[in-house]
Amino acid sequence: MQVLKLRSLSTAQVVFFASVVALDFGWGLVFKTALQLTAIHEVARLEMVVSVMLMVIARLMLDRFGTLILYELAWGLLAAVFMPAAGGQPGFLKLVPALTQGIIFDLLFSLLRHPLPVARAYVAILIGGVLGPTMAIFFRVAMGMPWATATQALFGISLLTSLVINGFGVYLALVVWKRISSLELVAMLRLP
Amino acid sequence: MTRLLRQANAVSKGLFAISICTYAFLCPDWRILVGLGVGLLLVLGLTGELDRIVLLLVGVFLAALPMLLVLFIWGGVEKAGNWHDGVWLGLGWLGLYMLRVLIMVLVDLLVVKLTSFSTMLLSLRGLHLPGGVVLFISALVSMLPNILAMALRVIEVQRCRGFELKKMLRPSSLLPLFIPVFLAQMRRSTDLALSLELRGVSGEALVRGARLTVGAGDLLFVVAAALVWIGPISLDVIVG
Amino acid sequence: MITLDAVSFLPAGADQPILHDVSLTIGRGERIGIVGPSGSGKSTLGYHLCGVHRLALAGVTSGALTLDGRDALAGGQPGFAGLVGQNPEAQLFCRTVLDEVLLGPRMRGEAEAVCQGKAGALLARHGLGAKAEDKVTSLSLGQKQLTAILSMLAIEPKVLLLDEPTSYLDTATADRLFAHLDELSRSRGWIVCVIEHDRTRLAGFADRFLTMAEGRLVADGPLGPPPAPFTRPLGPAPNTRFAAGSAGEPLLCFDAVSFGYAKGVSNVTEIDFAVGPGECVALVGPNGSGKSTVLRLAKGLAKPGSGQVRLGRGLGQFADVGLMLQNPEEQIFAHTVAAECGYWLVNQGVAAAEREERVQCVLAALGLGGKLNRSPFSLSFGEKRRLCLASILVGAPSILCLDEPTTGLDDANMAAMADMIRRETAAGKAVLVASHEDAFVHMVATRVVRLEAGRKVGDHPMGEGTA
Repeated sequence: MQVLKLRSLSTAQVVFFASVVALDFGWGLVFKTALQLTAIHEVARLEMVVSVMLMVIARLMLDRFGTLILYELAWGLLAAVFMPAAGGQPGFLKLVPALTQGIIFDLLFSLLRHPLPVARAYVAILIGGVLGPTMAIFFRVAMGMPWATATQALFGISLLTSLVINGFGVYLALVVWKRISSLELVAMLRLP
Repeated sequence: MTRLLRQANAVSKGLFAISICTYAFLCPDWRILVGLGVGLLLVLGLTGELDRIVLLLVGVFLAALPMLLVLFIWGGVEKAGNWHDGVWLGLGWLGLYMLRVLIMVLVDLLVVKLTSFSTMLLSLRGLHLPGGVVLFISALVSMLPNILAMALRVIEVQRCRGFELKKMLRPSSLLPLFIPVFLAQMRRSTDLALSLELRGVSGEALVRGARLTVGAGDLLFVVAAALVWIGPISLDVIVG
Repeated sequence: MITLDAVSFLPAGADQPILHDVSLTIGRGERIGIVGPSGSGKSTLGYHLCGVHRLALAGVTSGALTLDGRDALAGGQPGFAGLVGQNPEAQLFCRTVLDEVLLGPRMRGEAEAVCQGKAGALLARHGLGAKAEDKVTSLSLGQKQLTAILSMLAIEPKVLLLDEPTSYLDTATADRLFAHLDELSRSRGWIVCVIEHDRTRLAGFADRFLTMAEGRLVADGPLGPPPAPFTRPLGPAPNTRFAAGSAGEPLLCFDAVSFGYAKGVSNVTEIDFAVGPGECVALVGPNGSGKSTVLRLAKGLAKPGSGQVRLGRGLGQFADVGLMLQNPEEQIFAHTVAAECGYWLVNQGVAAAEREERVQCVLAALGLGGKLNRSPFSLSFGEKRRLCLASILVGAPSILCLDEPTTGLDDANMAAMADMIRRETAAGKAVLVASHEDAFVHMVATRVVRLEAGRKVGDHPMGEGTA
């Protein structure tokens, strides 16, 4: 399994990686906060489509174990700093599900690299993406939310919508990847 | 005191945040949680950081209240078996839950508002993390302000050809916005990286000669982190 | 100091090199102009001259490259070169102007007092002294470009490459900059290479010109005559079948329009002019004078704070005003050239068959007829700019607004753009062009409106007064 080593990345690759996380976060800052004020955010994390797209493309660009762990860690820190009350978990607690999700994503992307070079994106994101709502509910219940019918229904709906939205995200990411993967710009930044 | 707290390094602040969050997560006593919350608000007020952002966050927080009321009260009714007891039970649970979440948000805010970007970078450098991490975070923060401007510019360009924001709820209509913004970010990254390399800014150069310093502010944070665990236990022992 | 011997560069994934067997020698203190059409390899050559080809490009360089006596095929030495690219905004990293200029000297380990002295002197000389503590994000594009250039001057490189360094600068600032560069090359032996389309300015600075064409160095010496205007036959103007406004009545009218992006700030004030059918009005003026703002108001992307933007009878801003903004890279997203061109028609709900016909017609007229199914990302910059124009013309707007349509274009592409605009004007469209390119304005405009600090200070037919 090839592991991401920050020391061996070029300055351009480090800066590119940072820019993708910044893009994901900047997008979320606006869209997520706006959606948070609507009930829809409790069941469908629509802004996740772009997040998923960016994560998949970042992983295809820097195809190493550790890319998405670092991605999720950075994103979680930014979210904790700039959006402490928005999204799933409050404050620095965001880091826990983010990190766990990143580990699952990276593991599946790396393990399935040869058997399923393209479809691994679907497997990794869909399985890892189920973890998000699961961790969110786990922490909420641990903090006192009753595990009652309403909560279970909310969990079920958010799981289902998460699967659909993540699936869309991966599909669009692969469409974008097909269009841009042959560009010289991509060749310069890629770690295949 | 504010100056001392600001000068503390990011490590002690991080320890403080983890300690308070963990305690809030585990503490079953609402009185202690209320005391903790009030204490955090006081510190925010005394350091002059109790501003509109805090109120905005509370607003976002409260926006989720209707849904939470439904979940908690319904759960309470299911547990209690009747409406009257169930509503009070649910509200009690909700109160405890909201207190925990509020404390986590307040501690987050306190740490963030007392930490400038340069202090955080100095701490990371002092920890001798790989220079790439420091460069990563520096680049991340330097690019953030431009993201929105770039996205707005692309939206404006595509609006000239009929793109509408309300269509963005359909995932496939994201592509006219996503692809130009993504490629622009890539170009920006390579241009920035080239400019940095030419000026001698590489990862390792950023960590050369850095040391982590510890001051009075760090002690304050560490003591507070420990006190939140020891304090209630001691109080219990003293009171009886 | 710089020696290239049969240097070629093959980009990753390409089968044709974009630099072919380039051989030249450059000595200390030379001032070099690099000229040539769009896509001829100017920037690629420039990167190799600086020794940054491994950082800036993905591909393989062959041949022999020596910089300051050392083999540089794998890259140049740190501190040897400075470079400012076409997008100066992207190169800025720090919070304030002063920090940006200080960054390089600080990284080199120079004493803080020395760094401050150097940076202060540079900022004062180029009129940014008062802005030293300002945030970089608050600067205008021209000021950002200047800041990026000064940050490179601060590292005192042996070779400095500037790619279109004056695209956002006003004349006075550009003159000051070139005077400084001239002094640096003569007194300190710096090699200064400038890639610039403005041959007049280049002729006043450089004493040697490297002319590139299709990746080859075709001339090396004094500046030759400008190339003949582009003569590739284009198709007939594509939109003559489609209706324009009735003759005589203005199609676009600004009635005492004022607008500001922020409260208390007025970016344009009491703008009053009209554009009739068959007229091409050029909006001219220095950076920040409000040209782009006027175009946005015409398209309805912004609403006037006071006054009114009126269109001809029956015309609407959504379907009848076409606006092409500056940077084609901010627009292209589709999988084929045809899909990119037809995007506006998709949003207008035009049926597929009609859409296909109109797209083919417009692309043929702009010389892109043979590239319908190509990826738009694979086009050259000039082709991308034409594709952007096509994607607006395909909507058959009665009013055409173009924001700096010649930025980054060489003479041939500029002439082609001018040709297209003249055809649209002849077909009865109202055309409003914002441009700082005098030659282009002379080619297309029937009237010139001059803006300064957001106000109209002149409005005269082309030929009277100066553009």
